[in-house]
Amino acid sequence: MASTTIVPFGPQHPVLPEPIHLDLELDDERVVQALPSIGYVHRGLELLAERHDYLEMSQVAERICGICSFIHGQGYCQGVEHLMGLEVPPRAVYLRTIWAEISRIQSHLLWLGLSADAFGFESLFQHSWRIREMLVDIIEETTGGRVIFGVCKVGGIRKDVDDETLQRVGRRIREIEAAYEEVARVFREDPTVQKRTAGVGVLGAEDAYALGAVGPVLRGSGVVRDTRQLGYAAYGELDWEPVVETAGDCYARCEVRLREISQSFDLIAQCIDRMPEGKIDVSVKGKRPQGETMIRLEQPRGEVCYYLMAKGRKNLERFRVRTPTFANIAPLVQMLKGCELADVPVIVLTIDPCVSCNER
Amino acid sequence: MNLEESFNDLELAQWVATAERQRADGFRLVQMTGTARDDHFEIMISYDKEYRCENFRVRIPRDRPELPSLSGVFPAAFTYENELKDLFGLAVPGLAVDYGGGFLRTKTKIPFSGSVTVKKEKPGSASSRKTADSKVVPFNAKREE
Repeated sequence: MASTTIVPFGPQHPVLPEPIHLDLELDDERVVQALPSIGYVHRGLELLAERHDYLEMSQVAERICGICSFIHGQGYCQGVEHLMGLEVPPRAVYLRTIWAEISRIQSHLLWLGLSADAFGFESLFQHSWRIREMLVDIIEETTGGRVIFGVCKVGGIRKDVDDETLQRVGRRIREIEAAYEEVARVFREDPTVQKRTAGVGVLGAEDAYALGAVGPVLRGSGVVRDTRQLGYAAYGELDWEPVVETAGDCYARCEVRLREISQSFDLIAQCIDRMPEGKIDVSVKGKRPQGETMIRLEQPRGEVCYYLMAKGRKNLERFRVRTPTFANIAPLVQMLKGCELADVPVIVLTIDPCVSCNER
Repeated sequence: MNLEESFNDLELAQWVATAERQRADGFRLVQMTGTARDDHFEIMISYDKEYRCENFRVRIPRDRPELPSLSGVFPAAFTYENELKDLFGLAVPGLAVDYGGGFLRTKTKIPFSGSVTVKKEKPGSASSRKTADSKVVPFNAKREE
């Protein structure tokens, strides 16, 4: 009679920057099934929205996560603006788009570094993070923050970026892109990377769709779906197409992120070229949110949903965030079935788990 | 844009049948959300097809907090349903992977049920090491034996 062994993976593990736990049922070295559990650092931030002023909550929303911080603030503000019927000035919309794309690049570069570290390529990890640092410098120059941008507010943005700075950022972005292409070439051509990721953790298109996968996990399995196609912010006015790969393995998910970084550089350049003149915010004085809405945005890790409900009071009745990592848990369980124990860290990393978002 | 999305109210008896219809029509499960009200829980589910999102909502009475599982229709529902179970204290009969309340290992049990107030504890106090499942965690509570 065959016997299986249960091996705990996490909550503390060298490849996990944040705590998540998997019970791995193993037959010899092969994973029969994986059972995830979360909640080690759950903060209950959604409940805070029911007790705090809706204007203050944009600051809290941005602190849901330190990597996708700006887009959380943007999603919250878009939701409240919709409930209040506010029309955000185009310049603010374009600047939000630039910051969202810088967030995407730095998040993907952070992931590339972590994954290089996970499969033992230390110098590639360091180069990925070296380039990420250049992006963080731009964030600091344009917003004043390096992790929490603090520029998104209900009705627009807090800080304008003058045209001279924008042009300088545009030139720096092109320099960073050239440096990035050298690192991307290593990810694409180095046999070590291929050996650890190609054919590993395969998720087919049908499974990915049926299991509710989002972001690079879904697009790496050949499903054309990017929430930016909804046309929120400035995306409806920019020229771009979702990045899709078809192999469904860890390498395909990596390739999606590599190509999305190049795409984001291009989107930033488009925004700078088309930057509208004018105001950066509208007044919300004397107004309060009322009604309910569901806002969906594309985080670096995939689709994020914000449900907001308000009854004309200073605080929201309900603020719910469904993060991409939460949606990718069920697909992760599917990917891990039948894999080798040694491949578990790499597969877990390719969903780019953001526990901080998950434990909002 | 994604802003004009519909919110439809459902009877609890239509919960599973609606999910089956949405699945047959090619929709994917986007999310499930719980909201605690004074006398009931609101559970909302969102489906998406070709960027069109449809939201359905049911009311669960507090005196019978039970939601039929959709994990037989959408396998990914098990994460959302375990979350509802752990945060709101709902029973979910038919759940494919039931963690028995241990999916979200939060310190405060059923924190979103609407009647939980958690106060800050002094670091190192006996109560800071205790799993809180009461409505109010007393500031200087003695550790239960």
